[in-house]
Amino acid sequence: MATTRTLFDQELAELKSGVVRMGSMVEQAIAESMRALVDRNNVLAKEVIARDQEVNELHRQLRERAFMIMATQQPVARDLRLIVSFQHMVLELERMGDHAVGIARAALRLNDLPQLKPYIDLPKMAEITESQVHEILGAVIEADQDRARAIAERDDEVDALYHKIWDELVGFMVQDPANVQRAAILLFLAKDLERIADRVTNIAEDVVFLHTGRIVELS
Amino acid sequence: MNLPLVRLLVDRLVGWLIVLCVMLAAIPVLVLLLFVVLKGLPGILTPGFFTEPPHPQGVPGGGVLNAIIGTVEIVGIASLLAVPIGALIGIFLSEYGRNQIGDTVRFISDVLTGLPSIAFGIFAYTVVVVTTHHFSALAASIALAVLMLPLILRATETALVLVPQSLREAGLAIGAPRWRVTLEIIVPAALGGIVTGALLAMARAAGETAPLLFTALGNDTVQTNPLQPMGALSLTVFRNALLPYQNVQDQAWAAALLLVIMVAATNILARIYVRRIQR
Amino acid sequence: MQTEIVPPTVDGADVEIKLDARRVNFFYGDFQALHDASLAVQARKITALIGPSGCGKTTFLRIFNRMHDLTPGTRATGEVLLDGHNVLSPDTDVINLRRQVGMLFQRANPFPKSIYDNVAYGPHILGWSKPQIDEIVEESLKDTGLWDEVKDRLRRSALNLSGGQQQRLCLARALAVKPEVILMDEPASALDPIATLRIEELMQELKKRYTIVIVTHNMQQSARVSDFTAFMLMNERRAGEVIEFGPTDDIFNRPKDSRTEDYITGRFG
Repeated sequence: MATTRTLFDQELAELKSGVVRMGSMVEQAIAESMRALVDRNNVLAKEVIARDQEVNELHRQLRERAFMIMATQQPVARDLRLIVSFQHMVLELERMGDHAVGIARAALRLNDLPQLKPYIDLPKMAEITESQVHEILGAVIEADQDRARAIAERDDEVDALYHKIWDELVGFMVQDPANVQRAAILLFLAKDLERIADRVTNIAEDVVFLHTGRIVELS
Repeated sequence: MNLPLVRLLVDRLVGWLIVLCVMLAAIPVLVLLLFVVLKGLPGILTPGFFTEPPHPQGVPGGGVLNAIIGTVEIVGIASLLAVPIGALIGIFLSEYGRNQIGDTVRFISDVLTGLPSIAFGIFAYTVVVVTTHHFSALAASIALAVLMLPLILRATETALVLVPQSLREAGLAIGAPRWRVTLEIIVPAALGGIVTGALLAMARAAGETAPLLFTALGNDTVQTNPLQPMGALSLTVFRNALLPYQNVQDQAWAAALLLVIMVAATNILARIYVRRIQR
Repeated sequence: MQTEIVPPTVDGADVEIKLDARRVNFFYGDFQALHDASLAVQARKITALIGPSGCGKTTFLRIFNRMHDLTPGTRATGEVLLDGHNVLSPDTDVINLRRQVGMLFQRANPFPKSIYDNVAYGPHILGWSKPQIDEIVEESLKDTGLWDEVKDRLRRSALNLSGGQQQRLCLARALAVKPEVILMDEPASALDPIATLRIEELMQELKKRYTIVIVTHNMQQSARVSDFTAFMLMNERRAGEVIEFGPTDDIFNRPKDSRTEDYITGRFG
């Protein structure tokens, strides 16, 4: 396939690497926000919150660049699907970054209070979620729709853990009113993790769209 | 040495050289015209030049009325013969003649253009004069018609070939048969060129002398019967130039001037017509 | 080698094939210009032929109204069925065919006559009466959006119109003989963008009544305007082939053949 649009291909490649870079930043934010919780590390939590500015800035830049490419290069077919997918992925990543910030803020509040219980399921849920994020970035880089579909199927595990944690925390709240504050914060934290996993599924749908041109609901 | 300066000088030099060549080419033509005008004016301005036939030799006065009528009638009949036939052949060559038949016709036409005009005279003499036992204007018209034919034919073909092919396609694409496209669209589009060709052929024929010498023969009386000998301006010039009488020689010059004026007028007419068409 | 030669279906609608080209091969003397080209043109839809220069799309188009007869030494084999009758057969009434299948050319070619005479020429040949001709002239000029612009100068020369107007006049001239199919050979390529858009709008209106086949090298135009698109390419022996044919949405969003995708994304070497 001879190419006569080297400049255009270059712009597309830069867009893609921007998306991947943003994905790595978000991946790191999620991991560090959970560690801030588990290690009761407020300094780390504050770092995560501060670095979200960079994630937002990157989001803004990438969306603008994607729009400019569409306006000036009139992409069609595969190219158009690529840019539209990336635009959407970037939006999802930005929201994931916001969820990571939510986790960090929750950690800050919880770290001033005595720990409610040993954190077991939450880190497990977080581990799966982080692995999902890592895997989906791999699928984006490799443009592998089969891998994307497989990742989306794993969302059920995350959901199962989420419900387990929910039931447990509600139990704590029923048991003793003094638990309510910490349990509530932990509920919202779990919700943030669950939303991150959902957004991974959305990104998986974008990878499938990129290939097939069809929007399919996964999981 | 300063290169730009050299270039400028060479440029100027060549420019002047070209002007010189133009003058050299134009001068003979201008001198000729001047001669004809100067020598012919006295004759043209004599009263009776346009209204009287020639007087007997030695009798002063007279004119070239017979010759004027003769030239007009002979060329007129020749045109009536040559223009329709020539135009039709030209149309055939352009639209249906991209083949060996067409090439043959074109070749013959080119050969005819190169023939000395006296050959047409001999041809008409043999075919018409001898068989009818008569000199006649008709024989002259036939000779001139054959002379005009290749000119009109070629001009018509050229004019038609210049009409863009897209016009033919446009006509055919709406379901018009080919002959209608040719006659109703292409020929009207080429009409300017065809008429110009016809006018120029007529102007050429009007000036011919040799084909008329032994066909029309000449006639000092004013008569319009094409089956009889007839006078013509070119014949007047031919004969009168050799006669010793001053007034007769003046008439020769005047006839020549008249011919020049007629040819020039026809050319100008052709140009005006083309310009009008193009608007 | 073709990816798609089955007529594509529009969901739910009855498919009426107006013009059906089947395995057309075309030769200029010994040189083959088209190889096994097939195309099923649906009635009252716009079908576009796209492809790089020299791929044979104009050659293919001109077969549909037998315009290739004008060029000596050409030969077309295969079938082109118009409502079931093969237009390539020797007993076809070519004059009537060209009335039924009209053509709009790349450069506007109005006759050097008046505006009225241009549009009236076709009906005049068909032997219509003067009042009938007057009516059809007005109707055709209205259908191409020219009536208001020229109704006061019908007797003036058509050559005084602008390029876009002349092309619309040529369209009116074609419509005046009541065709069923209109072939357009890059009709807007010599026009400015606004005149181009006007022609495209006209096409959307016209397709309600006429079947349109358009050859275009402007891909955005093809994507904007057509219902179906056929992509053509020259093969190794320099004969044109239909590579892919389908609904325009599919061709431009999810082309099946990688050569199609390379062409429409501009990556064709």
